[in-house]
Amino acid sequence: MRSDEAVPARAAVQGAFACAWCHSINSAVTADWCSCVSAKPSLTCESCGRCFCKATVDWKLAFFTSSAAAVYRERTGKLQRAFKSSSAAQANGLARPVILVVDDDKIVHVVAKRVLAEFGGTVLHATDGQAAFELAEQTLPDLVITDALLPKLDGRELSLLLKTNDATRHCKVAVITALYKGIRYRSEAAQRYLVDAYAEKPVTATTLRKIATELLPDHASFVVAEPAGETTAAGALQ
Amino acid sequence: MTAIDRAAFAELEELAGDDKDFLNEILMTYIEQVDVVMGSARDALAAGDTVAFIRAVHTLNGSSRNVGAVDVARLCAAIEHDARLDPAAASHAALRQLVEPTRLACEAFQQHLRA
Repeated sequence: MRSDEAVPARAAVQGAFACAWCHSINSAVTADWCSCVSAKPSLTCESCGRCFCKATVDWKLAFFTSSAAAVYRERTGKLQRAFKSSSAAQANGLARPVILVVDDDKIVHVVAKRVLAEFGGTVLHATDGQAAFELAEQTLPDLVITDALLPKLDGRELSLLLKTNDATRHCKVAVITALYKGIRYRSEAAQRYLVDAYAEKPVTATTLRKIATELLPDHASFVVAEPAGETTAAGALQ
Repeated sequence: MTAIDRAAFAELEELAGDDKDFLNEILMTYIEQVDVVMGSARDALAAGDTVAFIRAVHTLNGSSRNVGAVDVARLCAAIEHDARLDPAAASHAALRQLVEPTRLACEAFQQHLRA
């Protein structure tokens, strides 16, 4: 079935468009977006209920290049969400658990890469808070281990961002710090920044194993056995 | 090895096990990082950016503790502490104090790498 290629352009400029199939006039701003499994969904006709995903390329191009600004914004948002969704799908291809290590000290990354490999998943690295957040949105890590003092975005603020973002709120976050020591800071980290575990530097192999074992209990069987007393019950770091 | 805390270094050796390359990678990373971080601290002073200066010294503190370079770590902690209390303490004079301890630590690690 071919659509009527002459109709959409002028009508859409005024926030209205004619259905590609039944030619009924619809509002481009209020019409529902279709639920087709596609990175480029289209609008649904209020009369016949059909979308124009299967209209000709010229018809769709004419519609979107001349439609109202609000439709453009919505369209852009949908494409961004589709991108994030495809990133999430890509994240599903990573070996789990995915552990993101954030520190501007390279030594920490070398040690973490070695130790966290024992958990059998994927270890990712970032050196500032902003890059870490962007990487987390794309890869949906199971655990984020971050320094507190970081360039661009503080590690505790990174935790709050992750915990208040729909896509990443499931991430467990551990903050390791040489700066914010003491019970007051631990309590603030848990309550205000929603941090799951808190530890003090230096970042040793023992510290990293302990955090990962406690916050990734489903993967703890991957851990190389520790002598008795080396690990503690979940929540002990909080 | 002078200037190096045996306990911290022993933990790294234990983690490395028979893998000498891993330990060497850590030591090489430290030696390289000292240059980079000292450069960042100097740039921060030139730009009058106290926050960046503190962050650079803080990074050197953390990596020094990780490899057992305790003298460097202690000095970094003191400089960082003073600079937080008084931005005027973030100075070239403070940074110069780090030159000799970092040289000794890097020299000790280079000896280990050559051994």
